[in-house]
Amino acid sequence: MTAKPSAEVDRTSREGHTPLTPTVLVIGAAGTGKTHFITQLALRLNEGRGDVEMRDAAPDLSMIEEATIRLNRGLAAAHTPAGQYREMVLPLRDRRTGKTVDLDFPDYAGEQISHIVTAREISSEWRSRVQSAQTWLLFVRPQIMTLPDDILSRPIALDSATGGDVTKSEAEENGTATDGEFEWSDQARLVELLQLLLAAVPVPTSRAIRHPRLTVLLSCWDEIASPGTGAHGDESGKQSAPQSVLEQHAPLLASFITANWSPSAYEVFGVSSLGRPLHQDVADQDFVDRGPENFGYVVLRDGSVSPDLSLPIVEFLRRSPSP
Amino acid sequence: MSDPVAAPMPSGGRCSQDHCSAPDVTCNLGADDYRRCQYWCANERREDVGTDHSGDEQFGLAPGATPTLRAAWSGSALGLADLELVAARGRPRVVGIVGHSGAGKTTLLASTYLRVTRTGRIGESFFAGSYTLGGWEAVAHSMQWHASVPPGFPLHTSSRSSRAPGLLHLALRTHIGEGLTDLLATDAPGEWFARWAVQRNAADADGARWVAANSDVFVLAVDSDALAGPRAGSARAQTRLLAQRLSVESHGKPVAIVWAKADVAIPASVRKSVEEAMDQYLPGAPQFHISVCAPGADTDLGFDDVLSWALRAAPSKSALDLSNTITLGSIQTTDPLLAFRVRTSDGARNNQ
Repeated sequence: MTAKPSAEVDRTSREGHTPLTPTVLVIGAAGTGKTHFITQLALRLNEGRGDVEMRDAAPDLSMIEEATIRLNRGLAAAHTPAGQYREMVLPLRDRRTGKTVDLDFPDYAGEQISHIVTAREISSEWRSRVQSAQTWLLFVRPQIMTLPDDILSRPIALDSATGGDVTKSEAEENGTATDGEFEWSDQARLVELLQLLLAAVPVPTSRAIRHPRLTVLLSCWDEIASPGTGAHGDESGKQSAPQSVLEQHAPLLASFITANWSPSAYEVFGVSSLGRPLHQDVADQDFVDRGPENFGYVVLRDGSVSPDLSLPIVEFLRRSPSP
Repeated sequence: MSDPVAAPMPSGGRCSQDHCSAPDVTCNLGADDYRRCQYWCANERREDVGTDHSGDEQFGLAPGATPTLRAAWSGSALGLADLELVAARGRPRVVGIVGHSGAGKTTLLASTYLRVTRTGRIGESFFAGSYTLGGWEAVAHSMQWHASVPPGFPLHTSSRSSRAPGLLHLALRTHIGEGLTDLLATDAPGEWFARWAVQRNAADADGARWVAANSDVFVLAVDSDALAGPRAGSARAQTRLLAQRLSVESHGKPVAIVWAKADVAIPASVRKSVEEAMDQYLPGAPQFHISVCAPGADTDLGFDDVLSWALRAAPSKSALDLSNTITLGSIQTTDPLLAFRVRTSDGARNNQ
């Protein structure tokens, strides 16, 4: 297998030049299911399944080799170790339209993404990536998008003995933090990440954004799926529309996206790469017997389900006008 | 999530230019690497520098290699020097939140943000971003449950600068394709207003005067709890004084009165006295009653209403009409900068 180092990837500047092969850039924090998705996609490409095919000699897949082995054993992929800095680019072609697209998967375990928000800086590598990508593929895991209870949603019980309110000194005793000693909420971090990436390109927000496109993947869908959807993803039973799921679990993020992106440049899908939860130590025999490529599905805009994991990547190819 | 371990770059250092806040944000002169700017003093300490600038190492770049790009905003409440971020794209609407210490000003802000995170909206407008997410998260954090620890109320607001308040920012958009509306809400300590109420030109009332001069609308927070407590008499007098001051200094701009902690019953005589003052000094001002403790009631509505009102009441600026196509010579454009030029050139078309 020939390696395709990142230096060879076409990173033409945005300045008035349209790349012949658009790039879809994978963006997502740790634990949002990126590794499982890319591994399952690669397995399906190997099998020749789905609407996309690999168009050149296969790139260096060693990054997902370990994950592939584990999935074949019915185990979840190990958490990607940090500190390694490789990039995998899958050169793809949509069978239906013949159009080409590169899927850019930087190997970053997600910590580098959170670093952008906490340290408030973007490396030149990341800046180059977001500038040259035509579509940002943003992984969001609804299950972990917590909206902590607050004083409005879960009021303090009125207590005549204490007078009902928590004074400043009590708040300090309780450990409610002073400025700078706490973590932002998940939604705020995601919105800030998008704001920082947009500023890095830079993309003006005075008008609706058409470039880059944004495709949100609501990952680990099986965690929130309607009952009746099996691992095969070929049930006729429909799921909720991904957009409404995003609005329910992450209203701030959903609003930010729809207020800034042109509807024609934004799409949201649900995805369950595995179709079911896998564990780190206990193998799922059913998964082993049938093989990983028979598990996993995407949820389309209307809630219908498809086993073709490549649909979120090629969808925009079918909508954009021919070059 | 923990950052990968990396050898830290030397921390400390500051820019000798007063108006530049590097390394917290980008170098004011535009240097890609603030360390190479001629005004950078690597050995001096800034008292509030605390960030570990080891980003270069973590991204696999050798020190001194192509620098990382710093964000132009810190996420904390905006100060005067940061305002250009927002003002550059149009006149923001400033909501001046006025009230004595403990009246509920910061709680109002925190509740507004919590509401936005749950609905994505203020009134009919959609949340479209904020340069001060860190500032919002900070005021709201204390009002959230963490583990089983009940929330308190936001800690007392203090301000490093006494000349202007911290400003919390919300970018809002009602319809896609329309321009953004930038909302700035002041987060100021009550002590400023106490001084200002007594003496308009008091030496340490700079910040209050800033709020008065720069706000487009005002929200006067009235502390129902103080008016019902053992110091009701003095609280009443202070409230009346502040209402009077605001009525003069608002110069006719819209004012709303917010009865905070409205779950507390104010003795009838005290309430009447305050209401009379409101009628006298701020006639016709809409009044809102809000509380976080009212059992059974839909407490969310009160907070949503106040900011919705502020959005509607703030006079809309002559926003650039982005739908207009401007003709310059042979060029047709909707570029807002060119549109601005054409509009300010005394009506004559500029054909350059």
